[in-house]
Amino acid sequence: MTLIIDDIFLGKLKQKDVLACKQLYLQYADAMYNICKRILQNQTEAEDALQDGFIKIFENLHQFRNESSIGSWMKQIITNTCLTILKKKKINWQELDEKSEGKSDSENESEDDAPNNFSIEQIKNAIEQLPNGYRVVFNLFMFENYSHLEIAKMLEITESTSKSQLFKAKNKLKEILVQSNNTHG
Amino acid sequence: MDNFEKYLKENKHEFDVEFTNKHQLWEKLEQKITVKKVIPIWQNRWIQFAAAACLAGVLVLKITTPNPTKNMTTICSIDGVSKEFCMQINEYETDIQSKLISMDSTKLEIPKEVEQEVNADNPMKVILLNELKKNPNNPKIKDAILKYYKAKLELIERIEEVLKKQDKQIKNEISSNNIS
Repeated sequence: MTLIIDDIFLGKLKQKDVLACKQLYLQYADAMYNICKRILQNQTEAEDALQDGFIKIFENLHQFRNESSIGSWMKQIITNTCLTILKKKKINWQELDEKSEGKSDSENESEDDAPNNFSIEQIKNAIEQLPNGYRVVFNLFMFENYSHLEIAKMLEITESTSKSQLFKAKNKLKEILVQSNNTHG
Repeated sequence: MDNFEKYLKENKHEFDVEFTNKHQLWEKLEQKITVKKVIPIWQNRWIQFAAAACLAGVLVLKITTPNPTKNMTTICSIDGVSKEFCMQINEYETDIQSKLISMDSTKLEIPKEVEQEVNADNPMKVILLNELKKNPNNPKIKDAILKYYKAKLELIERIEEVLKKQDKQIKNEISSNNIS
């Protein structure tokens, strides 16, 4: 059941009404957990980050304005919380080399690595094998629908670094997938 | 957007994992959000108000509570005062005394004007007692004294009623203040 966030419900949230907070949590916990899990990979770290993120949400509900949806506002807090944890791991951002920079995505695509050749499970496993920098940018761009500019701001990198990480992530992913198909098939 | 990107975005929800510890995490969160800042009890303004009222009430009752033995001795020891009149005074004194004891539970401040009225040594009573000493069997004086006691008892009953209402109202306000 979709939660209707009206002024009365928002008022209750701002007063930290436990029932209202619980309804909000139950509505968004799954989606927010998946954001954390995709960024941090580790289940325990993802749950810890989710807990910290929701505490921040409940403590800052008075600052929420109806300018954006509460879901987007929460997503931003959760994403930032997870990224703060990830940044402590010192990500090694790799810039594009000259050879790959000029190529477009379609040029890199062949019939062998067309997505329908792989199962969701295979793709999931392949994403998990990506280096941190590639994986984070890839997930934020592909699944969380952030733009390169937004990703650059959040990760404190340049927009071109964000683009390069995505480009390399896609190539690496296809490489892993093709390799996995060759191994198993 | 390449085919791969399109495919991933279209099948986004297939990549979601189940959050198995959802309810356990809520329990932890619930504990954190329900822990309220502990305010020392003496910093609560309602507690301060209740304590002040309680102290004032106790002081007022100490001042206003008549000493029946002393009063009875004073009236009944007057030469010529009949036994029957003495018993009537005794009954009023007992009633007044029990009302004042029951008022002790409200512990609220009694206004100064009222305090003067219920004071055992108020000027009216002093005048009546002096008159009684001069004319112990004068029915008008005895009647005036009985009316004085009756009025005093009614006044105390009225005060008790008002104080009980105030006490209830304050308790409700304290209770709602604690809940919020």
